[in-house]
Amino acid sequence: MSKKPYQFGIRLVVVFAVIIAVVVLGRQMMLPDSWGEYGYYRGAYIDEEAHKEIKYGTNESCKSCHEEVYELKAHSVHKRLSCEMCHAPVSQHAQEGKKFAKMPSMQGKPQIDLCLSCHQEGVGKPKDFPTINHLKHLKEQDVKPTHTCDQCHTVHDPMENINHARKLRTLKEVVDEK
Amino acid sequence: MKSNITQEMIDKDRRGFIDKVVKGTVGGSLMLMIPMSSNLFAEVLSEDKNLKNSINPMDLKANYCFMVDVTSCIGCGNCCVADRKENNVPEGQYRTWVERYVIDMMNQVYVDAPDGGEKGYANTPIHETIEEVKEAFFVPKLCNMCDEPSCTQVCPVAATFTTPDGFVVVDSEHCVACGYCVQACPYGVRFINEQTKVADKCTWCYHRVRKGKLPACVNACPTGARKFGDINDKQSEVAKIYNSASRLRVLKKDLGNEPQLYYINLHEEVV
Amino acid sequence: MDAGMMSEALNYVFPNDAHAHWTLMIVIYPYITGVVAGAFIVSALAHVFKVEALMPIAKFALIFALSWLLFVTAPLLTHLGHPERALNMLFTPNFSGPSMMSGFGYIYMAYSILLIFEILIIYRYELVLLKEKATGIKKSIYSVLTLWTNDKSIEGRKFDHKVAFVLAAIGIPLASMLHGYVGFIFGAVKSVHWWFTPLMPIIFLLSASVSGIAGIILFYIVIKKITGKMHEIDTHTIKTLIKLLWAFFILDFLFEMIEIAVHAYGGTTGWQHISHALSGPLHWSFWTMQVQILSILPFFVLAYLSLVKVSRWVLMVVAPIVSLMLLAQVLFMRWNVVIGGQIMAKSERGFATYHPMMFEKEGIAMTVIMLVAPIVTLWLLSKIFPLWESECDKEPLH
Repeated sequence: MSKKPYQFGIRLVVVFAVIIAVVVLGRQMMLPDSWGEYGYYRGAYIDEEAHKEIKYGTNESCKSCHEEVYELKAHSVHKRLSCEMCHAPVSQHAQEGKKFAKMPSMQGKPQIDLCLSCHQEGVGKPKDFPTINHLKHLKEQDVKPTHTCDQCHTVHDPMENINHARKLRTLKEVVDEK
Repeated sequence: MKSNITQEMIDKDRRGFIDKVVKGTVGGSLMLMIPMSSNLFAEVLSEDKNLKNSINPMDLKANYCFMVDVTSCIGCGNCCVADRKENNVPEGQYRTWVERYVIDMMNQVYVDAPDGGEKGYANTPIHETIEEVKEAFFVPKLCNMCDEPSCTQVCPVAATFTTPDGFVVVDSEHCVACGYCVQACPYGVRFINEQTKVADKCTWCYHRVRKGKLPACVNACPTGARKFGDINDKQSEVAKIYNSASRLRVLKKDLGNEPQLYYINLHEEVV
Repeated sequence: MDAGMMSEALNYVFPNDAHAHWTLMIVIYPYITGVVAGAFIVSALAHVFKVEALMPIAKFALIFALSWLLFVTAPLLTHLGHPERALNMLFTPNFSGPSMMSGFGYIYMAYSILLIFEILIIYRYELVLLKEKATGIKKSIYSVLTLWTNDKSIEGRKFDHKVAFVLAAIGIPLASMLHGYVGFIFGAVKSVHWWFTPLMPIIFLLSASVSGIAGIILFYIVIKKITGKMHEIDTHTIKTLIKLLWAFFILDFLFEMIEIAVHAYGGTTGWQHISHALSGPLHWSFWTMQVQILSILPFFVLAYLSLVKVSRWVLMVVAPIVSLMLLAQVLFMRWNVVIGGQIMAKSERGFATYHPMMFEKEGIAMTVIMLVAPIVTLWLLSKIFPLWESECDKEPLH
């Protein structure tokens, strides 16, 4: 029968000290290495984020192999359009300079839908952006309703054929043009 | 006159035809002669450092900002498509989205963003209760990359932070996904990624910017409504806009987050 | 134009904001810490402020607090996307925010240590006596709990009392922090109008006290009834607890209503959004349940029990009922704050939704389990720690 009345109190303090030690040592061990490198965060993550894989290139990525089309488009009304909007991201087509997959462009109804996703008239579109009502447009141009857009408009220079045609029919078109 | 033009056309056609044949022959022969080594193509492509994996050092002198010109946005949703593919964003969650605002003659504001505007608005009629439209426009939304972010303030484990070059990112190895940052963000741009189970948000494509490229959505925008650049670079488009008398506005200014996403020609009704 | 169609047309939430992310788990987390804090305050009133009427349940209050304390982390770990990284809160707490949530790790640890130490100190003498009579596993448990000491002297017991006093005194602000920081977590979020108020920590703390005291009243009477010891219930204790409950509840309800009143008077657009939510999706849970049935009604019942001389029988029947009502009130209040704040979408043009499912990871079944588990734990703890005043407690100290 120990008669020390403070023994329990002392042992409680010891337990407390052990807990603190475990926490402090644990923190030392578990703190990530690059913590605090730039600030109160794991500095190594900045490089991890910066090294993430790029999927989309720019129009310049396409230029080196597809120069003619690139130049055609770059002088057209579609010059701001990203090649990858209609074709897939370049990372699905070429890697390290080597083409590994084809990037077929859309045909048929998917193509029409793609063109209409920008050019369908609707509320909210800026006034200076060219929009059409699809069926009305085809009717006005005396074109079959099943025609796809690229049968008249070459996608990489949509106004190319249209402008040529207008030149041909200059006298008539000047009057009709908006 | 007509016949001359027709003759021109035929001539051009002929020239074009001959052109193609010659190019094809030469090119084809070359192809046979020069082995299809990846080095050759790599050299050709690396002219403009495309998809290269080496990164530039952090530009600590830059003051990046993002600008959105509301009057140019056509609501095509291409930015959302590009972002989803570029950053592996799970379906149903959005790092960026495009809202449509429709104001009717009674000044009632209708806002929608079906699928975040990703599929465009071509097939989305306005609400049937709207009788006459006074005004309508599209507003792209994305991370505001605040200078005084609410999200980094509340993260309990300091997993989300501002890099020295001013980008707010989430350390996906450290985040515990408590969701506090999602609650704290006034702009609703953060979410808990369903696949990685950590907090996620638009990073202004930090991984592209560090490689000298524009964010995916800026690259994808067909009308140039989205702009990105360094205000300190006097040649950049954003610097020119910033230093001129353009009506730049930010969202929820009174909250004091000091967002670096500036809207040009933004309407009062946008929150 | 149909009103329903109109409001549906005008409803817009940001795509990432459409569903509440903080679920039932985050509703019950402050509830559990609240009960802990409230129960501790009762015990502290007995030990520190020497409120004699509360001495019979002082020990019970501590064990009650401990049984809930053990489940504080359960809802959080269930909610986290990466619970295996939970200790990051101890390794890298965010000082530079500072993030209030990062305080959780250390506050919870400190408070747990304090509560457990306090219990061990207060029970030490009794456990030594029980150890002498025990055999087998129980004896080993008592050995551990007494840290292998056997002192039965009066100096020892006097020392115990002094230490208990100090720990309880430190414990009051610590218990307040344990729950007050939760209020700060919500109160400091400026992007949610419903949360952003300096009154939030105060409201949370007061409602915590309400839930703790109500819990003690309820289980005091229920446990005595189940063990057939109703006659041992001290009327004076219950009466004091009821008055205490009423006082804390008045303050709690007052602050909750003042907050709304001031905002409503100001009429900002932020308030208009809140008011649409309160009259819309939150109408039932806020006005009907939290305010009318579970606040105004108990207010009058408590007034009656506190001010009027009622018979013991009435007290023993009505006190547990009104305590249960207030326990529910606090739960509804947590729901209305946590879920309500998320329902008010950041687009300021509509409401998000939250529909808890029964068997999902953070669903209703899990919530019920986490609320029942502390009761089961209380029962288990009562096998080791006698809940009520024993003979040895009444032994003189000189």
